[in-house]
Amino acid sequence: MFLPLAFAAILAATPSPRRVTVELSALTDAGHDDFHDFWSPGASGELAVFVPLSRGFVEVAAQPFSSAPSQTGLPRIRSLVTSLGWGASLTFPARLRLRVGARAAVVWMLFDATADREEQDENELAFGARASLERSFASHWSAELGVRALRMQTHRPIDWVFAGGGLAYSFAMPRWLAGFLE
Amino acid sequence: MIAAACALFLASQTLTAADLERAGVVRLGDLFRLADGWTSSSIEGFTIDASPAGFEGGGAPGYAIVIDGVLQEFAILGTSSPNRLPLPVEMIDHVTIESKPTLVRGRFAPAVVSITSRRPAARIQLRARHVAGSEAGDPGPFQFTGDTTPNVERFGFESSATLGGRGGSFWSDASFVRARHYASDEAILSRWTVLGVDDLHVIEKKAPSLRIGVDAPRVSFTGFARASTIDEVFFPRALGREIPVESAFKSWGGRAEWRPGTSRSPSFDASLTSTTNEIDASEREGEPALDWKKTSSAADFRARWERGAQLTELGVRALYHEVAAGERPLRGDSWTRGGVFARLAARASADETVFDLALDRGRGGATYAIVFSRTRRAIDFSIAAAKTRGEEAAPFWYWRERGLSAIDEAGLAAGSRGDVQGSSFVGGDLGITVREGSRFDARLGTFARRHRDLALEELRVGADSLGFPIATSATLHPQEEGTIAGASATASLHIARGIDLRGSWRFQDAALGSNLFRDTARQNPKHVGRVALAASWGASFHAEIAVRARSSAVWLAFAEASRVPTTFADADLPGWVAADISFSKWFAHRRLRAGLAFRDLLDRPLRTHPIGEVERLTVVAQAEVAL
Repeated sequence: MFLPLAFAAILAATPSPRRVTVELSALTDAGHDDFHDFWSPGASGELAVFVPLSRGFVEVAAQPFSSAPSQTGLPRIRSLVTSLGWGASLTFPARLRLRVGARAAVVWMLFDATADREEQDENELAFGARASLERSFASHWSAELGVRALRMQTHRPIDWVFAGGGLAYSFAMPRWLAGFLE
Repeated sequence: MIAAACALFLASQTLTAADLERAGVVRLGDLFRLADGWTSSSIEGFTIDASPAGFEGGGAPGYAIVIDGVLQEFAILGTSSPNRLPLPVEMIDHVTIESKPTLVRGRFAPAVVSITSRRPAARIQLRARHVAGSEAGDPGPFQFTGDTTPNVERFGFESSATLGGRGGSFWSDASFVRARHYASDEAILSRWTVLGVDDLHVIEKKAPSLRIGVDAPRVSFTGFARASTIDEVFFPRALGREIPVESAFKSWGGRAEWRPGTSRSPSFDASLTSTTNEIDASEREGEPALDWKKTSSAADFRARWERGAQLTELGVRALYHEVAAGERPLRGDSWTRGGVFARLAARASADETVFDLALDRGRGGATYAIVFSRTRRAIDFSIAAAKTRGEEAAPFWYWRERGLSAIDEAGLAAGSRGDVQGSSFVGGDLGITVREGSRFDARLGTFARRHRDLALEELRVGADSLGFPIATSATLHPQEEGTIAGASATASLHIARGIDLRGSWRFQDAALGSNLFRDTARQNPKHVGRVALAASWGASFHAEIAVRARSSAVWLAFAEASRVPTTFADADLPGWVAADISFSKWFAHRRLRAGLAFRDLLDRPLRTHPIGEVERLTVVAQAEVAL
């Protein structure tokens, strides 16, 4: 139900400052699901770019992570989550900013070869959400702590939750980008 | 306070290109998701049978499609899927949907979808689009755990490009559409695999088209040649199972218009079209070898007088049909018909009166169609009467009588209780429109459709030795009758700048008629509705969230098959509610567009045909270039 909520949020969102933000985060698996009975997701990172729109921001993100098998005979899974999302941010005193967003993602998976199966790849649709709290400590820089939740829409849905933090760098939107978004 | 409307006529629905972009329309068949009160059914998700309000169950399509004023002959033996047409969706400027009986240049249609296409406006113009989609529900990593399920990949892709240009009053463009759709649902894939073609589940369409035109102040001309070839699986209802075929649509023709210099003089227009529809089962080793080719040629000439608020049109038309079934000659496989048509219309501010008449004569006897419609302030009503030809009433059976032996070859116990003959129709629509400024408008309507001498199939679909559905008996009843009556409501509310809410609902039921008529009518859900909240930010960003709903339907013909679990058949189609959400954003001053749509967001199983696929959550991504 993230997307209908996001739709409602779009209607209520206020214009964002015309600044582009690039964020690099370190994340760790913080959830438990049927998937975890078979695999253990390792530490991962995420690169995200936030581009302001007239209402809220659009987000493009990539998050690679590897899941080690916890049972014999299962392949290691190397995954890359590529997300496109929309969100809104709220500014608080003490240079704090809450950033929330909804995401649609494609999870690209590479299954290592096992004793009886060759290496293979697949991709699946996923939906998710993110929430992070940022605190700026210089004119361009801020630190963030946050959580990402993702549901992969497989026949038996897989839920992942990642938590972590990182650094974000903001800069004025280049004219070519502003023109492109028009 | 809501005041009665004065100049609003909501009996027709207009969808602009922006509406289609915002709703994430991919293929022409998707238009019917947006059409007020329409329903559609599909076995594999590509061939779409759409129905407006009223009775759907005879052989003739329940509606006509007109592209740039030219009626499209795209029905094959009672199956009419708009996705056969070669027109790229991004070339649509707007669509007008008349969901009531209408005459189109002398041709009667229970409803009309009229598409106006874009024409090049600059010296060189390119418009291209690529759409890819996929359905959720794969096993994913669990395929390695012993808890695996089949892979799901249905939507495939659709790519199209149109290159055109204009120099002075001359213009021309050429388009190409290529689409692929995967039928991987377990409900159909297993039985299709048995039909014997390795890549059978891949439905592939290739469609080139070319147009040339002249737009001068007094004269305009458009010439066109369009074609589409689809590797698909055809479902003749009388067989109860599919046949792999190559399906072809080829159409060429032109339309010319001459406008005089003075307003008192009449204007003239004429059109000539020739269309071939073909299904070739032999090409794909389909059994039975249902090879069928129908060529329809039509010419008409119309004179128009417009004097102030009055319009008079008089026209003549001629039709030529030629049919062939493989190497076998069919008795009476060609004929010519001729006719006249007229329109009288008067408009005065909020009032409009239109009277249409068409008379045809030729093989199959005389036919006629009359439509009278009147709009007076907030009230609109129309009445229509028509008599159709035999081959329109029950195409498969009509041609079986003339030598099409595919049914007999299939070993089907088929019979007819009499000769196929033309059916007659009387219908009426009444509506009241209310409006409050530019914020709110609504139309409440009621309608009734009376059919006589309908040719209806009484089918019994069971299972063959492999457990796949196949008709065990088929009987044509050519003199059925009945009445469908119903009500409809459409409303739109302008909430705030760029935010609009629109909803529609339609109810219908068989009010009178034979048991077979009532049983056939139950194939259409009684209730259909859609509510959409649309939002726009400036001219470049659009979003829409919509809820579609329909009540249950019963296809009694499949009751026997649904008792065999391996057929995956279900005679009782439960009602469903589906939520869709889509986003569309133009970039670089409307040169690039990206679209993202999610269909059936709640991931509820949706089924529209007893032996068809079960739709689930689907994501569709679009990219469009306009240079």
